[in-house]
Amino acid sequence: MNGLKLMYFPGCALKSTAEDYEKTAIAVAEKLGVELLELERWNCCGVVFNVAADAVMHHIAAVRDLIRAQEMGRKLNDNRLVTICSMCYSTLKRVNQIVKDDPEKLRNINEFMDEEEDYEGNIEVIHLLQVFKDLVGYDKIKEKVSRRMEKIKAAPFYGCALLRPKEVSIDDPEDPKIMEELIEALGAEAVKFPYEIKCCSSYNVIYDRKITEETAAEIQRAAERWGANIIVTTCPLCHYNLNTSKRKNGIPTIYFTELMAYAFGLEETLSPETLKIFNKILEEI
Amino acid sequence: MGEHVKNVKMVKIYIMGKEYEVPEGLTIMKAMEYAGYRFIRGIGCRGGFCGACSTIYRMKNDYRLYTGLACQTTVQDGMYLVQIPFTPAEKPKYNVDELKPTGTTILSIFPEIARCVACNACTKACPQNLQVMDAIQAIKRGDLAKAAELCFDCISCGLCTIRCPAEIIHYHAFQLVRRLYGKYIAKKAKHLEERVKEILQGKYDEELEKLAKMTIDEWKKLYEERDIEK
Repeated sequence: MNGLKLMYFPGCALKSTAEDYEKTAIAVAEKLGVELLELERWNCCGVVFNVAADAVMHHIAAVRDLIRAQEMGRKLNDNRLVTICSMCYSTLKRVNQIVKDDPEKLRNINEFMDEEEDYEGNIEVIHLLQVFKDLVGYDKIKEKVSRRMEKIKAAPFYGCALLRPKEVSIDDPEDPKIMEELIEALGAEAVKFPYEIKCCSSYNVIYDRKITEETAAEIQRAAERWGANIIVTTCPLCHYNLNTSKRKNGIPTIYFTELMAYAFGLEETLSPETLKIFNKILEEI
Repeated sequence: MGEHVKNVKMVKIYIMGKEYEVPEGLTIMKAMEYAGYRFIRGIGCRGGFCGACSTIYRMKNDYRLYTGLACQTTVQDGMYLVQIPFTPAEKPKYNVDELKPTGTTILSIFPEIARCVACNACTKACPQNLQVMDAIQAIKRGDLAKAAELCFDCISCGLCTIRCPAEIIHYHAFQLVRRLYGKYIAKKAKHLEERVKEILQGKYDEELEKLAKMTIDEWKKLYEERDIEK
């Protein structure tokens, strides 16, 4: 297990609005013996809504990233590409699926991108949660926990991109458990709640903030009613929507890697704001 | 045709659809002048640096649209070409002193950047062989140092901009990237700051006044006898 090196695709959000997510993801992976190697060259994945349409032009960005992974994977002798952001996961995984299932489409894209080598369709897109579950294992995660976590009652919030469409779901799309299991492995209490797979309102935030405020309130109230004092997410957009539209005194939302970093005693990787969230939870109880 | 070109091999080119025979080996610019065109705009340094003489062309039996600078690209037989002397684009006004050096700043002035689909048409069009799309993508993720590095050799010819399906105005955005990088991110040159300070303190005032009072001949003499830095 030690010395596992995996290619990873950060995506734009992790380099700008979600820097804390990337920092903690790299740190906790390292603690678990996984070195995440950023693709040497990459572009924006194209984002989920581009994949909704049957427009080859909008699949080019993702295929180009898969080619970058193919180039780097050859050197590493590994075809697994780790994603951290839910949106990037969904986009890359879906486009990968589309071109694998439709050789004609892949040929069109390869011919259009005549400046690149052909994509051969053999990259495997995975999410960091799957790395921790399947390649590291929860037993090893338990070993690394250095802090008492039982006062933290964390509601896993999956949103859409990790679970839908079901062809690319990382778990049972109606009843996912992967984050719950991780939270429990960290020694915190996992609070499963009915809105865990609800949409956060996504890009509606651009057009009408009210929609997002209402959705965020619904999600947060439900999590609170089920006894949570924190919401845990994998998605920078869910994180943004739930936190920027938070009710006064509503419970905060953090990335799952921040919860892990806290459990592992890697406080130095957490932002002062996130540390404050944890300290507040411990004070209140 | 004059006597002097009798033994030179001629090639056939098409300028805006009209056929001309021109000597091989000429640049597109010289060939057009040979054919009788006189450039008023769309011409500048003739050395491949100013970006004024953008040209697009196709070759016989080749589906690709090629790009180049007329002063740098030699004519080939069967070339269909036209000049793109200017790429229409509004130059946004901003005060670089009031901006923050972030990707968001650039996206707020050039929001089209968010529409990039990574098709790479810009990169294929660049006569400077820059990784144009990678530079746009670096802006998108807020890595201005990387973007500035990738677009450092941009000559603002506008060929990327005219090819972009997302209608991004690359060359104006790149200028802003380099300004923000130079002002806020790049390491400051210490010796420059010291020299500016010396100038402001009047260290060279006396010398300058002396020079201002000299005659042309004294100037020439001074120039000829100057110390040349080794």
